[in-house]
Amino acid sequence: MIESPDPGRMDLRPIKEGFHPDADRIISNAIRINAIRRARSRSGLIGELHAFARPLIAAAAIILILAATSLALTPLATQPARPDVVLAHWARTNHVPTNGELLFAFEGYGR
Amino acid sequence: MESDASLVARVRLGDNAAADVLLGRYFRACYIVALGSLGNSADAEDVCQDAFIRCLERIDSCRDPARFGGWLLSIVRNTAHNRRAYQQIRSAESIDSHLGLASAVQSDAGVQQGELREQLLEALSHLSEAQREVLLLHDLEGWRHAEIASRMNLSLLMSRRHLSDARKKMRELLGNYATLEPDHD
Repeated sequence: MIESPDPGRMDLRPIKEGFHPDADRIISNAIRINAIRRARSRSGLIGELHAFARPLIAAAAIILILAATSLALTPLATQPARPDVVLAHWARTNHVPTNGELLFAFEGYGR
Repeated sequence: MESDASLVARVRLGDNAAADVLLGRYFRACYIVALGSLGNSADAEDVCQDAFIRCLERIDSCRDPARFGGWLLSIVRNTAHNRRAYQQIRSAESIDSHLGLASAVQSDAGVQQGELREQLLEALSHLSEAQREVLLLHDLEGWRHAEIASRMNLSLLMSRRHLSDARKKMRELLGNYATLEPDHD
């Protein structure tokens, strides 16, 4: 032991002597374990999303089938009759058309 | 040399090579902080590995990547603290049973290296965490006060103060202990 009144730097080297920590092993272990955990959590998240989405996909499929069926069963909208045919009909039946019927028959003010 | 902030950004994108460089850069400091806290190399290595895993898991929460070193050291410190608390619960042995270091060191001039290490570690356990870290990083790892202050979120003044107090306390515990070359800063 060296006695010195100098309040300078202490010799703490004996603390480390004999210890040779394998930095590479420790760091690579940490990186590897972190990568495994991340992969697990990612697959877990995808799995959860998949489980959550499955009933939604089933519900969407049912709605799609119902919508397609109702569309198929709905008769196509009939074409509006030509204005001259409508006018002839009104004349034959002495029908006085309302403003709305006139607008509909002539498809607005265009004609 | 690539900056810590740049490496942190790469680690966040999943770059393992960047993680390797970043952790390698601070390994020695982390190990010595853990060793100073736990006094056992195997435990210090375990703590480093646990702290590194935790660091990588939480890398997104590192608010100031330029100060990554300080952030990592705080994780190491907390991990070591938790391990020590766990060990203290498991062990009935009191730290106080190892007092009386000065007489032990002074009475045995031919003390073996292993014993000397044990005594140093035991004396270190009587310092506060901040004193111990500043002393180890400065006197053992050769860090400058500016680096220590920056990485430990201390002022320069407090870094110097901790070092001075730590040395004084160590000398009280160990007697007139070996001194190396004068301070580098």
